[in-house]
Amino acid sequence: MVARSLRSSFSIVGVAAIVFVCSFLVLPLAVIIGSSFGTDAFLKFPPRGLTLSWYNKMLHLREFVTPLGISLRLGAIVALFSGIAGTLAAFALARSPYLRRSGIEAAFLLPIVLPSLVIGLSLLVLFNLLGINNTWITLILGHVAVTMPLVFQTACSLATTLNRDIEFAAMTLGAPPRTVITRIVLPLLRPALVGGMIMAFALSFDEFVISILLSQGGITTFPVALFTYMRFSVNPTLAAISTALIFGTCLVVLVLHRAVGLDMLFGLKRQNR
Amino acid sequence: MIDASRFPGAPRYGLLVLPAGILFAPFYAAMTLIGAISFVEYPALRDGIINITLNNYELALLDSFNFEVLLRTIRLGLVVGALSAVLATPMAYGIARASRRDLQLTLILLTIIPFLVNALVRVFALTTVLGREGFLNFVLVNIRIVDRPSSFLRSEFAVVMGQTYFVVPFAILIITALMAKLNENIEHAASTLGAGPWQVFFKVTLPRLYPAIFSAGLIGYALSVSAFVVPLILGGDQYKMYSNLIFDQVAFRGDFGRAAAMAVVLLIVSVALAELLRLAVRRIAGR
Repeated sequence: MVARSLRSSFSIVGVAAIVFVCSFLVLPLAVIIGSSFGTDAFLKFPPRGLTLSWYNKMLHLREFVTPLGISLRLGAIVALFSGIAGTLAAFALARSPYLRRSGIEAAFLLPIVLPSLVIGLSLLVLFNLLGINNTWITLILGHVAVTMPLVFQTACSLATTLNRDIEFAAMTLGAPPRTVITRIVLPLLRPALVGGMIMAFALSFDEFVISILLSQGGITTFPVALFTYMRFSVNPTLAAISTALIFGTCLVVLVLHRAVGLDMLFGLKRQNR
Repeated sequence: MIDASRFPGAPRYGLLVLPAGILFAPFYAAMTLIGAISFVEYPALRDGIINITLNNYELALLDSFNFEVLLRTIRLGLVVGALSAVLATPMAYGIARASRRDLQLTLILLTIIPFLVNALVRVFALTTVLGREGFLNFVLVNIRIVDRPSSFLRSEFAVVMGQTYFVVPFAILIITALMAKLNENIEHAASTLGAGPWQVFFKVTLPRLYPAIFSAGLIGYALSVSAFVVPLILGGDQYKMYSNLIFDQVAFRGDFGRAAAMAVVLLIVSVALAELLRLAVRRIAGR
């Protein structure tokens, strides 16, 4: 009897704790999704009445059209750069013990632990000094500096698990190196590349601090436009925009899950039980 | 071990690292530059000479307002680090030990989605919870804890809650990653030998999780010490953190020397202090 009540008390407390943390994580997003459908002109909980008019308003906002286009293009370029360069570097490191000993891995991962404000500020000073005024170049280099380490990190965890015997088998069977690379290595690396590019895109699309520092007087990215809008008008249209972005994120997560598998991406191996 | 270089046409791996190296070059140049510039008096190059000075550091550390904000920032880091590690542990346990795959996936999604939603959207969402007409006040008024709603925004509480909201997913991912590697059979063995579930958790599972919980707390500390967006919006002018002061130096004064010195201070506070803490605990734990 005592053992059973202990067991159930453990489950109850455990489930309660997990439910608490889950609601902490979900509540703000749920509240904002809810308020985007409310009729009140200012954000209020609980919202009264149901309307889609804020979504209609959102679709007619002109100030986000150009920044959205800029952020999409920037994200694509950054994803291409950090995806390819990060995956190649991770592959090389997984293969070469000499490179692993060189400390290059720590050097590539360093930007993860540094405040992005400091990174952005330093790059701003550097670009000012070198006289690089092209905002596209500064933004791309700034975003790559903060997205590539994460791409590299996830690619590393995948690249080290690649089974080399498959390549050796292909070589033994007489496949020339080019065939081994195009038919064996690249397909095996594809999840790292695709997952890394999706992540880099998502991170670049969301990056605010680096963008606001490096785009001074130049082009405006979407988060910077969103920040400017937030400064002057906190209204349900903003809730509608937020809801759209939340669903956009869900879509990205879904694509990421389909492409790589979320558990793989975050170190959770699929366990066979 | 077969050496790859023995195979004809084996790729030169050094070349594969080159693109990443080139793309990282500006970052490293910039980090070096910021260190150098923190000793330079701005506006620089007055009459063709660069003035080397320690004044920037004096202002960054000893100015009473800056010092107060720095202490507040460190306090935020410690509180958020500890809070996130505590909140993340049951969730990580749930993900790693979920009995069903769909349950596990749901918990992962509930962690990842808030983690990837645009930071500004997350902060804005928090204002709808913490504001005067927000969710928290609605609950507190209805269960009669408070009589009249009042805004929680622009307070240290709002900044702590907001920053914790940002850090918890990180902490969950870190602890889950370790927990997934732990051998579950040891727990089974303990319970077969008669240990109750609480005993198994506190005597077997938790002690093996301490390193992950601790590094989650440290990363939470480092992330919170450099918090920028959350205090900017949830703290307002009253509850600025150190990052906000750095930004103000750049945006409103254009004083890169002072900003650089403050950035160096922030780097030391976030990275070096976290490292020091790690070493101290390792020494105490005797590992």
